[in-house]
Amino acid sequence: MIAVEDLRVTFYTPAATVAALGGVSFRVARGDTCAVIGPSGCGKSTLLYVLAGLLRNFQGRVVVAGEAVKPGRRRTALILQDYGLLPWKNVFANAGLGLELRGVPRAEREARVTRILRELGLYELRRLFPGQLSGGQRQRVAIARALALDPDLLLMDEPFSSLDALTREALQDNLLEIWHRTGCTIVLVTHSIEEAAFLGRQVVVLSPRPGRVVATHLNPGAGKSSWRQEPEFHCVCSFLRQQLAGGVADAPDL
Amino acid sequence: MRRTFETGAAVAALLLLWELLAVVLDLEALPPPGTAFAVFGRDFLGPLGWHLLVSTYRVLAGIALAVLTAVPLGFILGRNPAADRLAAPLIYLVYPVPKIVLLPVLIPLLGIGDASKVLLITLILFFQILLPVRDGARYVPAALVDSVVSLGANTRALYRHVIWPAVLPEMLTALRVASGTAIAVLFFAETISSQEGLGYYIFDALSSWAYPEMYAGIIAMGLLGFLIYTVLDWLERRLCTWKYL
Ligand SMILES: Nc1ncnc2c1ncn2[C@@H]1O[C@H](COP(=O)(O)OP(=O)(O)OP(=O)(O)O)[C@@H](O)[C@H]1O
Ligand SMILES: [Mg+2]
Repeated sequence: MIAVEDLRVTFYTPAATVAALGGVSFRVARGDTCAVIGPSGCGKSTLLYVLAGLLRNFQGRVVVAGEAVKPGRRRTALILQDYGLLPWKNVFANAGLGLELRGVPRAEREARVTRILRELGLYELRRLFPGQLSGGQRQRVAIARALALDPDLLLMDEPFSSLDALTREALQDNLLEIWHRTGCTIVLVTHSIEEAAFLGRQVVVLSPRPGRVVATHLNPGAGKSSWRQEPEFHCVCSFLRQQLAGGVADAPDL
Repeated sequence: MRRTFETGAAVAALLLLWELLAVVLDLEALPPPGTAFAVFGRDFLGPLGWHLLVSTYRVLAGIALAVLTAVPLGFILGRNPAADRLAAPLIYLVYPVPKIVLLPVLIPLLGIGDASKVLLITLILFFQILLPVRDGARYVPAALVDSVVSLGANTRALYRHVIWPAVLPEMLTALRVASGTAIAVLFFAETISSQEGLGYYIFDALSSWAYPEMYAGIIAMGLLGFLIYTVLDWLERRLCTWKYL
């Protein structure tokens, strides 16, 4: 689904030249999940912007669904940490915005949004504005808006990092359900080791800026809700922790 | 309902103060409110009503023209740093110039009728709206824009769904603040060069020592200001529901 080869991104600003990504390569198979983890400022968000087609100024090769990445790919959905929802639109209008922008007729749009809001347990909130929602509800509306587009690639930038632990775990389980049901490919950026180990069937560890791949760890246990309780899950967490700290560790035997 | 009550109480307090002052000072130049309202009632369906209508039209036309020109330009400058760098010095130079000084230029060009007054009001409001719209458009969070672009928005959709709603509250606030200035300037312009409008009516009464008429004109002017504030207030509540949760 995704092939990234030697991706480099450098920002040129009057104040400084910042190398954000210094040669990143990885692949994600169709229908798989991949978590990208790395220290703050290592270029995780930048990587997602490239995958979403929003950032065009990069070197290297980035292929999404068999084609060089380009803006406006219809089945790519991007979910950003904050600000994703428009404060002046209520839940229903926010969730339907992508469909509206793509010119889906109103009747079909409303039917689809209604179905998805019901599935995510948000239908009762449809008339509220984002400012009236909790952080977790807001993030679920952002997910609903992405799902309304029937994406085959879901890109998420630290989607749950501002939530409390309980809400976060509930939403992580939610996301797994969605993944099982839709079979979409998920690339999720996070700085939480547990989140990466729980959600990413493959975990890409990036170095401090400029981000490079320190390790690509296959994590086939991820993808079921009970994984969190298994001892291997904790092994993966400590392995990732060591990788992030720059230590060298052998991959745990699973 | 509550607001109606509060407005009523404010008006009553103002009238009471006026009545008190009129009694205490006992001046010909300060008739009691009853006298002024009697003239207001008498003239409202006659000349005064007409002058009120003329002034209202001038203010509303000025507001409409200013919004129609300042908003698109504010969008362009706010979203294109290069254009803004070119235009900003010009704007900052012209902005503080009191626009009333342009009246002697506008009158020979446009005559003493509506056009020169409307344009004067437009000029004043234009800058008052332009800057908040430009700044609002500039500081719309980049992540908000990015996420809507990633949903498939083109430039036009971006303005419609993101930039415009983001600047609307600030624009309405600016408009409310500026419309007070606009009415004051309109009054001034109508006193020096007009045969119509509340400014003319009030000044005409003043120069013929017809004080009750003058106060009737002032009442009409207060009414005009109140009307405009009320409409802008209503618009803000109506269009920016999300701000008042
Ligand atoms: N538009 C930009 N112009 C200049 N520099 C930028 C820009 N966007 C990002 N950068 C720089 O690129 C680097 C990587 O930024 P990025 O946002 O991708 O990091 P991140 O890994 O997502 O960090 P965090 O975990 O804090 O979100 C940072 O040093 C940042 O300052
Ligand atoms: Mg980031």
